[in-house]
Amino acid sequence: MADNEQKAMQLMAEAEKKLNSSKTFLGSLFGGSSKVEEAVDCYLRAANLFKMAKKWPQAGQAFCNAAQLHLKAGVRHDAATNFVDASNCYKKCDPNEAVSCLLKAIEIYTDMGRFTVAAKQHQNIAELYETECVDLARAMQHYEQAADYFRGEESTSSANKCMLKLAQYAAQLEHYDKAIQIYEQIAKSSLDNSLLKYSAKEYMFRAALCHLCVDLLNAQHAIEKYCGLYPAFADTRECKLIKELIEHLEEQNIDAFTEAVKTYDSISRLDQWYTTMLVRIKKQINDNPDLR
Amino acid sequence: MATLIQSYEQQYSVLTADITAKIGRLKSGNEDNRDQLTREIQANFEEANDLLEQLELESRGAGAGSRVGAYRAELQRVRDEYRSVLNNSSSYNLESEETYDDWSGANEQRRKLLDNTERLERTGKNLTEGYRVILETEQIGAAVLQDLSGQRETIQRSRGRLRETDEQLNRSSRLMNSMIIRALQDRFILVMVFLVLGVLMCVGLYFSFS
Repeated sequence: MADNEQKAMQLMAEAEKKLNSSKTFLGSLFGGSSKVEEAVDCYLRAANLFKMAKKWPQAGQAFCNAAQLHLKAGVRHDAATNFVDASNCYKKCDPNEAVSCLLKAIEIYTDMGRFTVAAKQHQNIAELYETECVDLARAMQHYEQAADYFRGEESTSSANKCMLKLAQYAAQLEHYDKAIQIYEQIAKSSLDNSLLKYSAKEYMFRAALCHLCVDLLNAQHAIEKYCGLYPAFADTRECKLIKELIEHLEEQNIDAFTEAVKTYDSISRLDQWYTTMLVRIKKQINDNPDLR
Repeated sequence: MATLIQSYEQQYSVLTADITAKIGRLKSGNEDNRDQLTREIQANFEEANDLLEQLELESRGAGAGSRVGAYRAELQRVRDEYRSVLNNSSSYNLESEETYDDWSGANEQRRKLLDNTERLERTGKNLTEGYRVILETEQIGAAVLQDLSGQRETIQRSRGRLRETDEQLNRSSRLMNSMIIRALQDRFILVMVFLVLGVLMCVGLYFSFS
């Protein structure tokens, strides 16, 4: 391990030396670019050795250096690839640095017109924000960007995946309108597709839950609308549950509400997201005491 | 093969145990579903016979005939026991039915009711379990379909890209061909020029010496 690290250090030093020597007059006249290429090569090898020694920050630094040199030499594609490699290394130690590397890569990719790849990197950033630094607002921003790029490139399924994540976080951060809009849009688009028809009810269920978080009446209207859009929705357990919940909410009956949720949960498990939403809806009953 | 035989053996032992238990209940006497019990026992005997035949067939291939004989003897023994119980219980049965008719009827009904409730409960549980599984399956199916649609999109996109690449390759190969032809032409012209030069030089030399 230590051996690898030492070798990598040597390679780094060598690369720097090569770079400095290429700055002399003669060097710049004869084969200046080849010197840069050699330096890049050294950096890459050093980075790989650092990776073997599990020295992630140094490896990231080496990849970054290589990418900068590539950029200077005008090889943009390689530069972007190196930035992505660097971010992969930084991911293990310093998420913020990883994000900045990815942003640089995205800049290059968008410049080259490779929007799909850029979108994928945006998604990566969003996932980083989601898992490493738990900054949901920024994650949402990047998911949105990724979805935009994906949609621009006509890859709807990837765009939908990003939009779903976006809606999920939007609902968690209480931007219900946005979440509802996204869910309805996705539900509508998936109804047109014979393969995606069966997932539409889940989106409708989620949208209805978001509606419930905001307003009862709207939720009722929304449910009717969904039933009109997708007649099979009326028969699903999700729809029945929502209707039941609306009833209990109108009666301000917390116990019945909990009971309904419990019976639903006993058959198909509700995940974290659903639970938070349901808890929020339940809180509404407590917050708005009966005025009648 | 061995596992098949094992499973048959297991079934057979379960069946004989069942028959013995039923004979025991028949012996204890205070039941008026005697007819049903005897019918069940008969059915069980037939089943056991079938099972034995199957076992015989299977074990003939595997070469383990001795055990089947033992099983057959056991079955015969159980059957004998059943017959004896049936014979001496028929007389006992009559008086018992007369004396304990009311009491045993109520008790029986109560027991039946309990049995039924239990069965109902069990079935209900099974049904909910099945429902849960079905819903889960539906969810998985939806997820799979979603994946499939995503992959379909990817494949279509890659196909488009492949077509594009193919076209570009064609164009480049055409370009290459034209370049080769051009190079050949150039070489030909070069040779021609040299030839003409040589001829001219020869002519010049000839005229200068003559």
